[in-house]
Amino acid sequence: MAQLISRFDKVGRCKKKALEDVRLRPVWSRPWFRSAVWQVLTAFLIVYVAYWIVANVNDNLPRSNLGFGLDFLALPTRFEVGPNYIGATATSPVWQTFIVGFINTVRVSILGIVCCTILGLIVALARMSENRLVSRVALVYIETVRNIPLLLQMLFWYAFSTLLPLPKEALNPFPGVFVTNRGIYFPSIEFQSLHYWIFVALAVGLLSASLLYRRAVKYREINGKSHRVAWFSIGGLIGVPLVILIFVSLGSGVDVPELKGFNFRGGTNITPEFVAVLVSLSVYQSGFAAETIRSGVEGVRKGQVEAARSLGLPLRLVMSKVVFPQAMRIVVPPMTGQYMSLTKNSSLAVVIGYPELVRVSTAVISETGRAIECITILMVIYLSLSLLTSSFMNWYNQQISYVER
Amino acid sequence: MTTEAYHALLPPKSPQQGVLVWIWKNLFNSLSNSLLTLIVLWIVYEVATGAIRWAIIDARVAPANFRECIDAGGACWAFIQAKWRLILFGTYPYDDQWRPALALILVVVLVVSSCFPASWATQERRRWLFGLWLVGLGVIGVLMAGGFGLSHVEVRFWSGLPLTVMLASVGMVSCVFVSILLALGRRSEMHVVRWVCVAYIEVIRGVPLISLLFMANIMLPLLLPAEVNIPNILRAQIAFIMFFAAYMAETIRGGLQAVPQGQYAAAKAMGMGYWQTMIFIILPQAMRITIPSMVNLFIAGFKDTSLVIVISMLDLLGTANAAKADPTWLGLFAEAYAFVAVIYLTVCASMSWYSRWIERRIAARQQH
Amino acid sequence: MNQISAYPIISLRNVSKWYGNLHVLRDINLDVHEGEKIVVCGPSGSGKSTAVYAINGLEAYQQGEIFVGGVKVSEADGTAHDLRKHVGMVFQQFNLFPHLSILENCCIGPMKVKGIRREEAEARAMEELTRVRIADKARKYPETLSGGEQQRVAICRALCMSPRVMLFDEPTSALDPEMVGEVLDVMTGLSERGMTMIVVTHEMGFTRRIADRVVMMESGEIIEAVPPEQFFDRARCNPRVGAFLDQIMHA
Repeated sequence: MAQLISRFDKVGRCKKKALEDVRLRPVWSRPWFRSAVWQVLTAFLIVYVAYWIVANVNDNLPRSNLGFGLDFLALPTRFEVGPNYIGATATSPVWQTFIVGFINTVRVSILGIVCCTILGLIVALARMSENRLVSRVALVYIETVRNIPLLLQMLFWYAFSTLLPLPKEALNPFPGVFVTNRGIYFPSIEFQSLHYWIFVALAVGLLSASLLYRRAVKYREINGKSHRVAWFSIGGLIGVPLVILIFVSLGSGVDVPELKGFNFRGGTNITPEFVAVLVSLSVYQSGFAAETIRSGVEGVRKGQVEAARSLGLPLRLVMSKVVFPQAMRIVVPPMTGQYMSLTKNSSLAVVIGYPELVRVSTAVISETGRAIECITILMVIYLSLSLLTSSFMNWYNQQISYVER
Repeated sequence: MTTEAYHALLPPKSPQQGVLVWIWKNLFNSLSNSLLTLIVLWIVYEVATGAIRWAIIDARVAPANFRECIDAGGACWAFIQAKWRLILFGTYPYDDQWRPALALILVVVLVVSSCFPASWATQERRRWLFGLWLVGLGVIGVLMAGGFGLSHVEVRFWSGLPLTVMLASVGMVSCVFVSILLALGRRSEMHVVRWVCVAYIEVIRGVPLISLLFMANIMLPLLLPAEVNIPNILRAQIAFIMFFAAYMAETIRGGLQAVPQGQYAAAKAMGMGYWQTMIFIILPQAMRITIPSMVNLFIAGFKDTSLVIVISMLDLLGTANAAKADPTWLGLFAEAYAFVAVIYLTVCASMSWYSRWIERRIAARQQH
Repeated sequence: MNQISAYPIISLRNVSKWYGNLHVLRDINLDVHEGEKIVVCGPSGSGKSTAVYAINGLEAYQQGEIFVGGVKVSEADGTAHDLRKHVGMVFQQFNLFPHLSILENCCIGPMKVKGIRREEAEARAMEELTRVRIADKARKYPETLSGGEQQRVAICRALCMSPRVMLFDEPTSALDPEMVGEVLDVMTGLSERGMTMIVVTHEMGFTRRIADRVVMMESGEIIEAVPPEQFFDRARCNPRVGAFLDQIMHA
């Protein structure tokens, strides 16, 4: 109390002149006290609500005759989860089925991300074109695709696949490729560890591409001659894996799908559910991606382009050296958000039966009744994916941020 | 020299400056441009003729029987004729369907009248608007649920378009209050409050809406005492509000950050407390800034109501799905989906246009 | 001309503030008596605005004490909030509330903070607005006014709270030159009515006219705090003051 009244007041010289209604507040009225009280109350409320919920769960569970715990993960699945990479069947433990669901989610998400980015890029370029017709058509596409709910689009593509012919009258656009209402079948190379070789080939390709790129850039900087750097890296990225794969597959046969009875045997196939999910996700998200890319490119100030052109740079270099790096800065954060959106939207596939994570979870819930655990697992997996993406985002932002004075 | 004098010096415009010249100059002015135009024109032609052929030329509005409809190869609009009331109103009692129709019209009138910036210009007009909404909501409630001489219709029979509109609007409006609290909490200096808000927002934004719907549907009965019985529609509504509150909170937080620091300082310097500053000075400005993003959120909310199909509720998409499952019309799906798609397109595209218009208006006013 | 009481209504005792590692206020000691007009000047980055904001409680300080009306300014104990009713502030960027009309801008403080009734508040506001000859624009919105008019309204808004002290943070720095005069006239009139004023400014003519003391700050410390006659006299005053004045006069 003493330190809040100045020494003048103690001496008494200014008591009359003090600001009349300003007095020391009682303790319970002071901001620090109030802030502490609010925080304690909030914490207490949270703890109490958590306790209440747990009590309710304890009451309700015995009534519905279920246990609580993760032991159900080791039980057999008791339902078919469809074709998958790890060979899980109806007798495999539940946790394997969850992994299958996770793989399916990741598979359709990654492919969806790639497709929607490519499609979005094309549409964005069209939208920014100086040709008014092209720009308007792109606008119509974007507005149509963005304003129709994703679920409707998914249901539509799924129903559309039922129009496809039966295996007996399958469409045959390319030799060995058959399009039916049970899926699209195409020939595969009969090699056991094909997937392993694919990864190796891709890794080697990336490595050689980056090495070649570095050498080409160095060569250009020393000699001043442009050595078509891009072609080298593309050559490395595509050519080397191709060569490896060709060598590897020379020794093995090709499995062509053949009609046996009512269905095709052999080869690999993709299910109509997968196609429906992939197509609808890519198309829907491409509308948003196109707008994001466009706002990124238009966010680069016109003065930059003008300055670059006045330096005599051809349009190709202006785009790649000046506009693109700056646009990337603006575009990458929202694009990452779009990719996360796409991954979360893949959960809608539960409606058409594609065995991704949510579908698997609901099936497990209906088999074992363990709702709380399954939904928690589900949410934890999605949350981890989200957190992974946002930490990547933060890392990226730190890398590219201008060091400001 | 003056503008008029300058204009007099210009050569007269050629009278043939018309559509053809414009097309030539803009769409065909270079080889690549011409090629592009031709390709796009071809694509548009193919798509448009295919659509027109399906929807109009080969369509049958009043076929003699079902076989004829299928054989014609085009749209079977008789399906819509037979099913449109089912798709729009779902399980609402057939004879009383004028009530939800009237309620929908009222909602449209209320929303459109609130969209004009002129209607929130002065304090008095804002009071009128608020009163109008209260009265309107009361009337809509009576129309839908019953009372005052109208027969009682239980909530579980509400489906189709009224359900979609209700889930979306009630969800979004309730969301606003929760989100404001969340956004303020996220910026609060009280650490406990801030941590709770951050945790909530990050968790909700990391999971898909479907998981929240499942959580609300399946887990809520487990988490609450056995005596409490929450109707299906309320569970869906809660899941919606929880989900969109997190996204809206981030939008509002952006708005709060966009209000200049000087406003906070000026209000503080005048002796205003925290809540006074927020309610009278900051939030009015922040909300105005975030209107375009809020409208975009509303569009997303409107589309996401279609997800309630996973908890067996019949919204607009659900009724369309149910309608097409009728065995007499086996195999038809495009008509129902097209019907519903057109409805969604109209609503969402007009909201999207509105959001862009407001954004332009705000930008223009800031040019001062 | 005006009565300066012997009692310091504002006193800063050994006030120090750090922004991270940057020492922005070094051991500031200042007594402002009621009725006194203080002008604070100095090169940019000298901490003069920070010191003035600290008086109001808008900026926190780590060391030392600031007393306003005998009560220590402390945010955590709530005294800063209570004191702000009696300390008016005018900002460099005006900071009028854009969604309220001029009249509402002036009334909202008295109504919400002091609980004064609307009619009384409006009457007082119109009185202040008439005094600065801007009453005809009372129903208009800030964005339609020029910079000078907005600043005059900002001064009225602060005056409507009937403060005992007015703080000014570079009130004319954001104005076009032709509008500086009208704002300075208002401030001169205010000073003649006996208001205690602390003004941060570069306007030396104004300083010479109204200041009782001129305080010069450099790098966070007070170099000189003397009456204007002494301040502007090269012979009697600190050479650093002379260097600073040279810089300003040549602008």
